[in-house]
Amino acid sequence: MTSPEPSVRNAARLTYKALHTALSPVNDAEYRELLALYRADPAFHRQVEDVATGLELQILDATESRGLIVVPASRESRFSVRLTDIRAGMSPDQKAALVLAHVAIAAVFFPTTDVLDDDNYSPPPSSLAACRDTLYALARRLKETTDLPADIPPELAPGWDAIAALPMAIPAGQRASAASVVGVVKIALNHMLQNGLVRLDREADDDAAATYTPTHRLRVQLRELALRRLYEMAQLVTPMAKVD
Amino acid sequence: MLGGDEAYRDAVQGIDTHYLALSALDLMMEATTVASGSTSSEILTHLAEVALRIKPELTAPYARRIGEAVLDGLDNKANNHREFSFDYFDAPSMSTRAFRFRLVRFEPDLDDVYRYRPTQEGYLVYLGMLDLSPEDAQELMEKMLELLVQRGSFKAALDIAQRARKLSLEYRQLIRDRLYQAYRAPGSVNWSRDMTGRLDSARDHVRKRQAEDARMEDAVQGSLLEASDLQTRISLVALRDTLRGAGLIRMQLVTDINVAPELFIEAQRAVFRARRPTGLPDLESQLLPQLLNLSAVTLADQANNLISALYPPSMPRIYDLNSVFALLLEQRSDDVVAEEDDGELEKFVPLPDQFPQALIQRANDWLATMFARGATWRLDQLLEAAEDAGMNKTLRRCLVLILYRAFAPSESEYKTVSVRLMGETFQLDVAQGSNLEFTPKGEPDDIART
Repeated sequence: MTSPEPSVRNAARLTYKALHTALSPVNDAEYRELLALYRADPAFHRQVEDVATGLELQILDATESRGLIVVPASRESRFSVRLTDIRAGMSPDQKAALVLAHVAIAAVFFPTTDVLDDDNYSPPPSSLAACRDTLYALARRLKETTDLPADIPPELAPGWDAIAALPMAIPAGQRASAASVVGVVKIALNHMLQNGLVRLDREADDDAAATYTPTHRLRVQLRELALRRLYEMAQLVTPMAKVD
Repeated sequence: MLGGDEAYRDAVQGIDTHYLALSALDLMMEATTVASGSTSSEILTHLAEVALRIKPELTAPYARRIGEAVLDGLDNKANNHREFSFDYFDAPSMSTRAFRFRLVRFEPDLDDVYRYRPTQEGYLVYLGMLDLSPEDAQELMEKMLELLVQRGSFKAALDIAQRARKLSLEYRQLIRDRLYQAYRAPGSVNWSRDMTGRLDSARDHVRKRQAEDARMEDAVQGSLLEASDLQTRISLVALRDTLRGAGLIRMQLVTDINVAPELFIEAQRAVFRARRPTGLPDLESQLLPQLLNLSAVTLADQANNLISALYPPSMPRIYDLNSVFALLLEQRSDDVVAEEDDGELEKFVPLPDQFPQALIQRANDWLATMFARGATWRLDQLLEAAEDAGMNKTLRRCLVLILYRAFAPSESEYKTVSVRLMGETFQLDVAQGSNLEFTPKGEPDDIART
């Protein structure tokens, strides 16, 4: 079998493989060879980047074992997942809760920037309960330590207020519903699971027993892109509610 | 299964749901002495039993349904388990404010078993509308108790002692909630800053109460030795037992506090990781708290920034190859919330024409005479000829537009001439750009081209 030539066709082929997030170069010889060419040949490297840019994609990482990791170049990209793709028709409070649930899950797996940088560190499995507690306990603590003006309009009330106001769980509620803390975390975890950001490593009928571990993709996306966006978002904080 | 709603309404007749609600709160409070609250099934069983005691002719399914209704009421099920809220007039600020609260919390204990327990407002409902902190209220009760024992009102003293015991329960739960929070998310708590002071004051509070209790118990014991009336003796024994019960709860609190640092260290060890200084802030200790401080509206606005960065590309569903480019070029709009205010309707005022109709007519007439001569004209030649004919600048600008418009056969007013691009440019005072050639149709040159 001959090794592939640097060509636009092959560059597009590699991008196509990268878009299949479930594919792994380990079980795909063509993918493996194209990746090797991408790493070895600067001209092909540029071609692949051009194809990706044309498709509104950005290349974050390329390893022979885990493949090419591409992400949507902007939130306007046709490939980007949006909140409404996860669940439509949510109120601003529920949207905020779902965003915070994603951040809490990421924080449970990668609490510090160091562990995010350290490729040899594999985060221990975590349960839905751990993610839920990280989010809820912090929201409650902020509620207790922050003196919020009583006449604050609802649209300016901080996110922790939205979380602390939610019931922890809805009794006998099986479906992941955006109306409780457990429900919101469950929606986020389920969606991350479907998109290959976390892996279910112990399946159980009972939510309490199921545990999840993050995939390499979650680490890379967080490290190369999402963490900076989160940092920029955090700078938007309004001065009225300060963290002590 | 339970028959029609009519039958249910009949069954509820004569049931004191208020009492049932308080009884459920009582059960949850008592359950905090052994666990961190009651499970849903414990409460439902209890409520069904109480309902049957109130109305023995109830059938078991109805009794259970009444229990469910009461528990759902406490947990605000009708409003999707949201917080209760009521508006009240706040005199100092002269404004109406909303007070939001829960009566019960449905939360997991350390073994992840979901249990109900009363909130501070739940205790407040139970203990009456005396809004004192549990530790202050306990001191108040002690003073009352002392006075009542001195006066020999043992029955009233017993009532007060029982309330004081409930306050001990509440205080213990308050402290324990804080501790559990710290165990669950050890990364979010700075032990010496957030917890030590609070635990020290709790320890101090318990020590003082225990000293008072010992004194009270002695006093009650003394009265017991002197009392001969049976009813008084019964009250005194109950009073002594209640005081001891409250003492026991405080002892449990002392144990909670004493083992707390050790449990916390263990919880921290479980999530231990080395922290070194780095560039971007850490997710758990810095970014998450900061993001929680953003307003819900800001978070909702920024949601797609994060979600699009966090998730891998998702393949848009394309059902037809023709739509690929349309999809890729499409600008996706945000999830817009329809504005309530549609704004005002304004009358549409058409823009005035750039050139008056008479002027356009004059330009057209002049051009028609030029083309009628049957010669081939270039655009710049026509404009120069117009200038020579004494046409002003406005008229010549109008000519430019008419001539360029004539480039498109469908727009052309002059069907007898064909227009082609010459491939060279011209520059005049009224216009500059690609030069055009106007050839009368039917000329040999023109036929050869077509």
